[in-house]
Amino acid sequence: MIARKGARAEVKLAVSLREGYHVNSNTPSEDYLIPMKLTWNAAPLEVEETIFPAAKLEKYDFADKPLSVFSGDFEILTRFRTPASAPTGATVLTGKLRYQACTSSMCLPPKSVEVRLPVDVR
Amino acid sequence: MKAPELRQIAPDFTLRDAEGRQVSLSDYRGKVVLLNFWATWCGPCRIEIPWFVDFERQFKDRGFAVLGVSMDEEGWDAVRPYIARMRVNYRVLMGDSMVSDLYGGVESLPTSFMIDRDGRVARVHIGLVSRSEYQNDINALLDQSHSGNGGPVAGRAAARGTE
Repeated sequence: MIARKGARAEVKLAVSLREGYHVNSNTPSEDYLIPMKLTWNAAPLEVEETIFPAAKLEKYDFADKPLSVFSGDFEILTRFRTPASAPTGATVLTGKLRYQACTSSMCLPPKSVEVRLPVDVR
Repeated sequence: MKAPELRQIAPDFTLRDAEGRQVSLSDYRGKVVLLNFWATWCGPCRIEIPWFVDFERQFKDRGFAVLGVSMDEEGWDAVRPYIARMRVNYRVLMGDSMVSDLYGGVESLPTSFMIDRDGRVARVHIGLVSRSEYQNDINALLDQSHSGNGGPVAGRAAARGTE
């Protein structure tokens, strides 16, 4: 990603779930559910916003109400702002995507995957 | 359900309950045990909890016990309020990776091991199954006599599917 000083830059993180699995969205319908979260160690950039796709409301046998989930292939957009004072040159930002996946009958423990984003600050 | 002669001994472990007491699986030898790995964030697990409360009440006097092993990373802070709210009447222990590994690396929740009076694994249920399946297993195991013999120790293969 090219990040120009004093400007915005954005990146889309592509997520692909195995068929039959879903993850809780970033805004789960029930308090007990673990939300999907994307966090960045963004320095020298700053995270302006993270935008998740529209969640699907799906009904599963194990829940009374439809649950707010993501499934299949989707993207998470992060908008960064590059301060004018950011040092010029190449760097790598790291992020962490935390999620908790289930099928219609079982769940897997929450996991975090590290995301590495090479950035060229100009 | 596995034939008695093919069953392997459920690996013993010691964990703490909500009051901090150490509890071992071997304390339950002579009873039929439903050993349930679960977590508060697991929707399918939460369906089963009221069934297990009923089973504990219904079958306790016949030599049956439910033993819950929570895999919640947040520990008792997450589990204690939930089991209080659900009026869980059976013992719940805080699990760890060592116990999970002993049972084949329990990844999918819920996973339940049906253990006979001799401490052997008679069946493994991975994922949500019906209440009647559990009930049938419990009744069948309670009706089986206690041989007093141990079998080989169950290992990694134990958690590979519903048998």
